[in-house]
Amino acid sequence: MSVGEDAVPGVDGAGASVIGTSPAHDGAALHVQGRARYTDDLPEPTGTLYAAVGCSEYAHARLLVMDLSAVRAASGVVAVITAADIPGENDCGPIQHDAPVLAASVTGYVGQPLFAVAATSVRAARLAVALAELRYEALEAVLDIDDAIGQDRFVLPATRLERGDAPGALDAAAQRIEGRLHIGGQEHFYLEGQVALAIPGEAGQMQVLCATQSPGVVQAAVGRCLGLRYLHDVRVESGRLGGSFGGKATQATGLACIAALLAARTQRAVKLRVDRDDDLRMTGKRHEVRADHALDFDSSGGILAWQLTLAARCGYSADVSGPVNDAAMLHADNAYYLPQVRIESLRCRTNTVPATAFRGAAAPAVLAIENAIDALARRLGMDALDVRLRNLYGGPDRDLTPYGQRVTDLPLVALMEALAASADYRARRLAIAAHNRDSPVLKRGLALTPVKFGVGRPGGPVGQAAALLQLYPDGSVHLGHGGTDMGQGLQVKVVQVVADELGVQPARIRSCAADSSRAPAVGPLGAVGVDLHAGAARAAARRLRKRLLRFAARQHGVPVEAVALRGDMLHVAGTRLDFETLVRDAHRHGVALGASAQHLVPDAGAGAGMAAEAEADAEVGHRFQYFACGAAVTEALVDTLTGEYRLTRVDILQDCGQSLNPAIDRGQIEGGYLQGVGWLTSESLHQDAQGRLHSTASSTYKIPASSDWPEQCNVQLYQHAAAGDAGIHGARAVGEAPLMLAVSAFLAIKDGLSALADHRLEPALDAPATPEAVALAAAALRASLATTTQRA
Amino acid sequence: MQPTRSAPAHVRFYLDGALHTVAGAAPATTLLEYLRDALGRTGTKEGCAQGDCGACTVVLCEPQGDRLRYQAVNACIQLLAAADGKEVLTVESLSAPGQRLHPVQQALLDAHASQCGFCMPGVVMSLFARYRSGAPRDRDDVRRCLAGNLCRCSGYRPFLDAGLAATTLGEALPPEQRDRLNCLPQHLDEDAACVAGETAVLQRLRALRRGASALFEGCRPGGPLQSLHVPRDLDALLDLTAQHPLALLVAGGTEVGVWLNKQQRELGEAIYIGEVAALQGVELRRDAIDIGAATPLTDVQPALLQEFPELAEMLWRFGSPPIRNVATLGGNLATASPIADAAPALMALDAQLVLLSRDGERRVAVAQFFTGYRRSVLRAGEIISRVVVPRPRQTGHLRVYKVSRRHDQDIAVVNAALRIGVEAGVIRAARVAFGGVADVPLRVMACEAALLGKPLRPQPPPAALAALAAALEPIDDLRGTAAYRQLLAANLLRRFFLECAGGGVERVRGDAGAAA
Repeated sequence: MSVGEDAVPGVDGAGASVIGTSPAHDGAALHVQGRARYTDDLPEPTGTLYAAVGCSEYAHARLLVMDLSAVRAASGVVAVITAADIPGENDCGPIQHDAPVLAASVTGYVGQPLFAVAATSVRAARLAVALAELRYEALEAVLDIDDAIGQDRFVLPATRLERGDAPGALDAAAQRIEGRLHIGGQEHFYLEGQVALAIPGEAGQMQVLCATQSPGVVQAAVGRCLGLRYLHDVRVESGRLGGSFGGKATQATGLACIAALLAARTQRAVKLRVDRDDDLRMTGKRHEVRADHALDFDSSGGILAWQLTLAARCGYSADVSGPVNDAAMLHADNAYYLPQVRIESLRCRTNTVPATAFRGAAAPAVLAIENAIDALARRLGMDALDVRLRNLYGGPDRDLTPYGQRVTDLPLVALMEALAASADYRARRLAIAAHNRDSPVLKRGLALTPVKFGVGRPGGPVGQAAALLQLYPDGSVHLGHGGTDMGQGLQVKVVQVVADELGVQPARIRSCAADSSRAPAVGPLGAVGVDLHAGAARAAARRLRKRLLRFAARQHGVPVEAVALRGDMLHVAGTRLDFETLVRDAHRHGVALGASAQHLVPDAGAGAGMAAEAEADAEVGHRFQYFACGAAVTEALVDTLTGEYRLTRVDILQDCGQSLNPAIDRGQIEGGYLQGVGWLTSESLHQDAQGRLHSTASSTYKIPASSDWPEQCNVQLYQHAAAGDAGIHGARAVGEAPLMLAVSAFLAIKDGLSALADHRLEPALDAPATPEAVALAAAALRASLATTTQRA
Repeated sequence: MQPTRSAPAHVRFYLDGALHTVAGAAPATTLLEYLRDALGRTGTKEGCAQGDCGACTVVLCEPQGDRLRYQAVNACIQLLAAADGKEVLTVESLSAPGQRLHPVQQALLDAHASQCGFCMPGVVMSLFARYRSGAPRDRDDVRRCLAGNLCRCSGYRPFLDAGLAATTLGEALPPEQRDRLNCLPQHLDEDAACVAGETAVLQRLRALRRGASALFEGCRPGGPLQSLHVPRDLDALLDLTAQHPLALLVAGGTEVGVWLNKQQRELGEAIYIGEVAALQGVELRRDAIDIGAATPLTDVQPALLQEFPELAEMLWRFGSPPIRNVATLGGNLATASPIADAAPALMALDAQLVLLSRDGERRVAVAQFFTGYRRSVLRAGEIISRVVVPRPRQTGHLRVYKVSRRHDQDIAVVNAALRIGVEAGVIRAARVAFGGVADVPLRVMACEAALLGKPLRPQPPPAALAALAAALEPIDDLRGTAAYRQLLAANLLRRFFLECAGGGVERVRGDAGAAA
């Protein structure tokens, strides 16, 4: 059942469907020619001003003096604003109203915006900002998780998910695995930095062209801070995004508000494009997490109880820390049935930039349990793969998640076994052991880890999307929806789905930039984007198709069952008519050529699957529309003297259901994996004791480069007929889960390290496993061995 | 002495066959700013504004002998003046709308390489530059070519595929079409024949060449860079440094560009030394490799590698191709960074620097050059003119190390070069040089002394390890803690002995420089 990226031919008779084929990303040809336009590339209105933002230099301080007279007097400066100049509510928080656009009297983190300048050039604006005279009275700053917990500072209340009595089981256990894992944050490092262009309209209206993945969030916040009564006065357009990965889900909002405030003030267009270093200082990142875990197990490697406390550094305000940490809790089981479990989530408030959404929000929780399973395998002298297979969901009474949803239709056992076979896991394990015996310095490590990923949250504002489809008399289609393409191939997939529905060639369809005036934009969305927007677009297209077919049937005097649209043709009782003619005729006869529709995440499990024994503070029940899964084997070569390492081979098998576009999906898998590798290896955020971030540039924050891609790679889509509750056309979302496959890279490095002590000692390795962390862990292992030898 | 006057001048360059004459642009204007803001060429992107991500990669084309040379550079940190006298190629230059794509573009498209697409223009231009100077032969070639092009969406696998596929695509074309693709759109007439081939471009670029020194000034005084002098010969340069002893010397500009973009520094007057022939080129003498201090590393690399293949680790990882195409040994040393890539290797090879001013010439060993954090013996008005590396190479063992968080395009935590001469199993000569372990690159004489007279074994003598540890004064910073730096220094010394006498302990990344 596992196949490569070859196209699955359509089944719709003449005119093969485009579903399951691999048309290129809709922007690809423009990308390679440099003709794709991003927000900063758009033509600017006459008289456009350029903004720069003055930020707090203190993590926590009272602002004693903010003298901006030199800023105002600087060459080219047209306007300067502070909190006092905000006509509406001084807030841009996406959920809680706890995030001022410009701090007023007390600053809460280094990089918090205090004032903003609009000037006639980018350089003039940036130079002017530096002229501000700011005097602070430093207040005590809480910078890390330990201090926040110690001082009882949280952005949101603690949340718990519990089944059975894990603490009791662990107390009674004769032996257990326990420990603490520090898991670093991660900068998104979208190649295109944050940018917004605000254009004032008449009667107080505001148009914002903004690189954001959540036009709706920006629209609401801009309206609020401008004091506009109605959302219809703010129009937000989000065109092509140069990457986002969650980084432009809510973090674009404050900057868009500043641009809009300056535009309203000057009645001129204002563009705010922040420098890369400022971007890293000012915008949120993946949560840094302290994971305290304890595992009770039986002698065959079966997990009896799992207890995990995830303390997340949320920063100064809540942002989306609620949903992000909920997601972590809901994936704390990863792929394993946990008879007794207790997951606790602490949302720590610190004087740091608010942490935010990041692709694979649940990743720290997945790392925590996979790391513990490797430790368990070492303890029992078992192969970690066997421990994993032993604990996977499946079988009678082993299918219930801690939150009470039954895990059905998850082909993980078959998938992992197929991967172990195709990657030659067992034989390589032996070869690696032989290599390591003869190699005192260079050690090889291997790890195979799975991921189970819940997709689609039924209900609520994020469980729905709308689309507006306009068919023109020439037979071309313009499609508007609230989804943004950040590179993940949303648009091309939506076009494929609509083309299939209408039976026309994809070239007829243009799926346009997210525009709040066309389709009410939804909140920040990750993996579920394709399901939602393609779902809405398909529903709209279906409406239109039915209307066209009814018209055609009437025209030709046949029942509607006798007409069909496919292969760019209308098929009527054995004859064919081209699509343009049909549309022209329909138009002439006054058939409405526009259609809109809404898509809701199906709630198949409502009322079902709830487990009586599940008790939790968190919501329980049918949390996800479906689960996607995948697994990866990574092999690493580790220099135990310098801590340098190289990933030499990766094999990935990712469940895509029936892929809509295998080439796009493969790109998501590979890219997600490498982004996760970066998170767990080279990407290290360096903050000093005053709360200032020093890794603010590509010279100091190292995302993977081309030589970090494993030279041997086998990436395959695991295609299978998904159950009815999966995504559009049986395709499963693939945007997020692969990031967590990188856990295999971290554990492969750690496995190599542990070979230094013949896998008898647990290496002390936190994430990210920088060469420094690896070298220090190796040195510690050597020291332990020396002590042991001396004692012996 | 008749003071040399640089003639006020306009920057002149060709773009898509049209001559651009830029009057009155501020000297601090970067090539990227000019392309995007003044010309609306928005295909070239700003990603990091410090030459690290490659989104701004463009190609500069200039005569080299009777051929044209195509080189990728980072437009974000190149001054507009760096384009003076050259042909600038941006991603838009490669194919007119609706026209057949260049093989590099087509291959990237076919490979589904682009996701968000923001890095694509830079990737295209890096591969294009490589393609024009000899298509890549294997994946390592492509990898090296793209060392400075970051992508945050993909796993790079399709980039590597595409780099090779472009070669195949190009070779599969019938010759007349191949010629056509080697022409740029603006050189094609209606019959799609190549009307302005290399010869015509060569001619028009030669016609742009300045005889005299030039002075670029903005139409408004002030700004971060008040003026930029571009002397054409050594005499003019020495006059200028004598007249303006505090002027900033700019060679590759890879650091100056960052100062301008990131630090809003006021740099005053500057002298661009890249047009002075006497500071260019590599001369292979019987007793030395004599390297012009302003020679781009790309041109230094072959001669050094020929004599010292062990320098591959340092030379290939000095920076990405766009950096190595402009960065110089003189610049790397003159900034006196404690972690300068070239310093330990040059120290271990007993290299000397020729320092030159109107007052005369003196020679200083690289090991004596650094006096403190970002300070050196270089006097006001003095320049580094040559870097002299003794040859033939000594017998014995030479190893160079660079440990960094990321393999490519990163700054070292610790770098090192170690060399020993061995006679009858006994160490008779030793050079131990480390960077990143003190406020200057350090030649550790005490460690060297502790090695002399010792037998060569797989482990370093304990006294040498102790001497090394005692000599280092590492600090904690964002690239590494002092503890790690100490551990690395000791372990690199251990690794050196394992490599020399321990029966071939390999590195995790094999030989970085198998091919040129």
